[in-house]
Amino acid sequence: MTVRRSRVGARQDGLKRSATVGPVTRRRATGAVRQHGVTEVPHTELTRYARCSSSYGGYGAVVDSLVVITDVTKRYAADGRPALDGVSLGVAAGEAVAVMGPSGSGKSTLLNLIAGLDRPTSGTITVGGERIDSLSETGVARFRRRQVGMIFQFFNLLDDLTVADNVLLPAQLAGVPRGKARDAAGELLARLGIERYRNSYPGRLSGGERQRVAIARALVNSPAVLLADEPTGAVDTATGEEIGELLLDLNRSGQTLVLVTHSPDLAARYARRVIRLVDGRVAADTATDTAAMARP
Amino acid sequence: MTAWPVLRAASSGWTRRLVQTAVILVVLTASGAAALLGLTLLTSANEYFYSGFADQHGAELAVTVDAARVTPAQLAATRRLAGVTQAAGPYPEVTVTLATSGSAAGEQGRPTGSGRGSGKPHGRGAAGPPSAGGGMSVPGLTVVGRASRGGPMDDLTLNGGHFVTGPGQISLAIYQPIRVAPGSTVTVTSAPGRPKLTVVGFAGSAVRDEDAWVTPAQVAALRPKGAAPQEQMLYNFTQAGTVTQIHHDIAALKAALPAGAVVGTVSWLASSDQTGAEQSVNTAFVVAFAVIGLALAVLIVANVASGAVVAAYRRIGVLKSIGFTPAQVTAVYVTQIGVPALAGSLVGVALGNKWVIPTLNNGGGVFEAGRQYVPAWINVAVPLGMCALVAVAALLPALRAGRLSAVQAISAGQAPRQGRGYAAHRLAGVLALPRPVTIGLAAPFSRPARSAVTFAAITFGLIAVVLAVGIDSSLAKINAGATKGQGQVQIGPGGGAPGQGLTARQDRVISAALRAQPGTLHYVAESDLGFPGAEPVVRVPALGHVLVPVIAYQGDSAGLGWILLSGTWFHGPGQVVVTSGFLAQAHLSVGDSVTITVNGKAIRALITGQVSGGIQGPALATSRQTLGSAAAGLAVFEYDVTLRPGTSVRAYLSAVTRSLGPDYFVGTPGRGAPGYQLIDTSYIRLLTLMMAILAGLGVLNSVLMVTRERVHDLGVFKAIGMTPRQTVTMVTCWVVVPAIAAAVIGLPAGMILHNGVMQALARDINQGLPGTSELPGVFLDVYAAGELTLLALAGLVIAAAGALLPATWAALTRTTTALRAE
Repeated sequence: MTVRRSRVGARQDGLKRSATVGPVTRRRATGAVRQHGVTEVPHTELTRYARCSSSYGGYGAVVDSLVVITDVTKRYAADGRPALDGVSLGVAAGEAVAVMGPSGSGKSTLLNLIAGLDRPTSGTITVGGERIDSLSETGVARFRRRQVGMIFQFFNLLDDLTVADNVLLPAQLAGVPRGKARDAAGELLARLGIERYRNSYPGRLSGGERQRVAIARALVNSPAVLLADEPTGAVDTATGEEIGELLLDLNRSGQTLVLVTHSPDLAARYARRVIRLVDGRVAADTATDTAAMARP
Repeated sequence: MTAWPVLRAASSGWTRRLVQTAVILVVLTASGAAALLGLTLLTSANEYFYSGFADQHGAELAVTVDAARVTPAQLAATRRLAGVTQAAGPYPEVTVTLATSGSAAGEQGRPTGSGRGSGKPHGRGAAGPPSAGGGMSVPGLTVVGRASRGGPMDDLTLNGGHFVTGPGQISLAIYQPIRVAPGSTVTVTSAPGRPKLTVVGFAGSAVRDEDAWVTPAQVAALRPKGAAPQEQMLYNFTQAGTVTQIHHDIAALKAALPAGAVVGTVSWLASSDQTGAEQSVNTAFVVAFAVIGLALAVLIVANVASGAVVAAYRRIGVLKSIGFTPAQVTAVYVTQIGVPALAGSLVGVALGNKWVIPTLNNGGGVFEAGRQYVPAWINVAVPLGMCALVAVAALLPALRAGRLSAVQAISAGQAPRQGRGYAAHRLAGVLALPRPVTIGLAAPFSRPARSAVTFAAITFGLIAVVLAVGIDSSLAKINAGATKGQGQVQIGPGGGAPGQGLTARQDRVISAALRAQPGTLHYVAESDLGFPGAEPVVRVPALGHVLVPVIAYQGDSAGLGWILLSGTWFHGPGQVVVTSGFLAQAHLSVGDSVTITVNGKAIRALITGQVSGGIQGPALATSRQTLGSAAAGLAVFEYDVTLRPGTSVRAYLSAVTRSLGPDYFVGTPGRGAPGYQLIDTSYIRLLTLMMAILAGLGVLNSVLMVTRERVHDLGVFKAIGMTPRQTVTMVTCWVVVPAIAAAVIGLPAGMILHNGVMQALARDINQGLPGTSELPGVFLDVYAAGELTLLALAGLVIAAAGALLPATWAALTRTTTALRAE
């Protein structure tokens, strides 16, 4: 299955390849330890990895990444523990990043901040060159239409609308001409194998089918980054693997993916980089064996 | 059952659902006030008159006697007549013309509040206060000499300033047309030397015989030259409760006194009718609005109650899982709704009292202010009744909450809802409108129960608005119609006995003055016949002993602008036009012939048309030619003048007054039809505003509940890129379809209600006079097509206003919070 590449991935294809080559070579040179299917780089190497995670080196990598998070803190209560505490990281175009951590570690908060669903208490967030932490509500809604596709654990489809209408909705909100929107939706439904359900209602679909609909909806506006919050959390194992493969295929086609998951297996199989959060801080930021194996 | 846990759970519900608690409070306050007003006016309009009348020792009959024809002994003897239970007097009395400063350049009016026959056909020429002018001259005012406000009978109220204490002072009755501040000066233009008196205050008499009071010694100086001295006697009887009994009492008095001694009588029944009419005219529409308010209150409370339960299924499950019994859970929700409802209805009762008491005390100001009050049983019945309604509305959902098992409740709170309204969404999806609009338009079909409440709330609000607009328009037409047929300016004699026409000299002077005025387009001489005790005597055999006022015109009267309900104006001798009351009581129709006897001479005439001109009861208009020789010697009563277009009425009045001098009455017809002019249109507007607000609150509550129920969906919309403005648009569009449906139902319903209320008003005002209780269609057909369109839009405005707050809340809700809500 081929999926239309993200715009950023398509433009930066050459750069992306060179960015994936460097870390593999350097990681092996430092004798990294393999643990739980994830090759972990000692923390002292983490900063160098982050700086050298692309051919640019240093903070140049952060600046040129698709998603740039700089010293972001998020507190929900003024005197409470921060959900995120001084997090800085970047996601390069075309990367598949898994964010893991125990409950309350800030995974979903991080995802929400990248999607513009929430605002950081301090720090900056840039996606696709656009700084989103200072946008108005209207601005951030427009940003989400253009740059972000969201996939939720419990699908979050609208039960009153058909599958086709659910998929079309982001395009209609963005003012895409009707015909063009219908074509894009139809293509996505076909490619995700759910075209026969186009006139059905979400309530009659299985979990896996609903998640495919959600993925189609997330992709209809060709977003720069796809954000998935526990995309397999509400489906059985087999369906979860299907969904995972789907996401992997999307990423192979150039779609930037940030994925929140509890499952190390999922992270290992479908992401090339794992960011581990503990108590709102980045505890680890490593490439996975999958990345090591998948990269040329 | 321990109360504390129930109260604690209920009180946390108030604070968690502040908006809905506030909605219940406001709704019950408004509908409680409206219900109190309606119930009070419906049941007690005349109770206040009776209690006030008794408190003030009112006189059942006030009699004016010619003091030259009766001796003090004869008057004293009437106290001992069979049937007389109490008597007071004699008090010296005189009829005067009073003028205020600036009256030379101003307008002049006729007395309105006195119960005495003014010599005019009932309702004509005395139809309300004169229009504003620089000063006034009012003829025919009855002034009585009283040493003090109190006495064995007829205690006078004090309505401002103080009562007369010495010579040179006058207290004006609160119900006569002169309105000046205490300290002002009035001139008695009918008295020799034109003495000036200082207005020291305002007072009121329960029987409304007097228009002003001076000290007894002052009366003689106010008597017109050549006028006979008059005195007032006051009587109560063993039987005086009906018109027949009063007539019997008058007959007994006349029999006991020399012939011609009794020159005028006023009975308490006229005052009772006047007071009752002043209050009861407002009853019909107040009751209509109160019913709308109660219906809205029930609707909204039921909606809030069911919504509170449905939204809190999970909470109910938690309460049950920690040990609340079904009865306690039911009690929680009844308390959660009932306490703000009780508070609201108590506030409503307090506001209603504050609002209605001035109306009750506005019976011409003839009763002591503050003596009129809302009966205690109404103050108790209204909040109890409102709470009972609320309890019924809230009980079913509360019982449902109690019966749910804990597991059922928790899982019901978490389960995804079944989708509904699929067809509507598909249909809306093909419309070439922005997607938020089409989603909003289709949304009501996904929540049919909530949409029904929204629809009902808008419908009731729209009915109230349609009713108010219709009443306003009908009243404007009726009141305007009352002045039709009287020209723009009226000129008549400035003093003299009531009903006395112009002398031949005055006739010539007026005609000359009118011909000389460049603003005069046309004038017609009017003679009025048929009022009691005056010549010539007019009878219509078909009407039996009913007195029939007759207006006889000399000149072309067709242009005076009477409202023709059917047929045509008369065009020559032998033709008449009559009122609806005439046709109904005589059992005749337009096109029939009728016999009139004038001083015993029979005249046959053809009824060419049916008119409305503010006259209650039977009346007839014709030309002097029709009366023929029967009209020989008939004096002209007044001239009705039509002005050239563009002529200033004020300037014309000034010019004619200067030309004629102060001995003539120069003025404009009084505004308003009798009875209808008493209708307090501010009530209508206030009640309409209240109902529109209630309807808006109903919509607000309904939309708020839907936004709460659909908060998760709202989160999804926002997560996929719906902007705040698109969210507001979508939510506001939720109410468009119910608003359109409400217009389809509400407009005709409001128009039907308008017809019913106006007919009820007509019955109240005309008190069952045949032919007058049915309002002619011309006064009911008041809704223009353009106006109906605007009224339909009013429903949309109410709906949009109610939806705006929840729409804004939806737009501002944090997306992450909304997505977490299930």
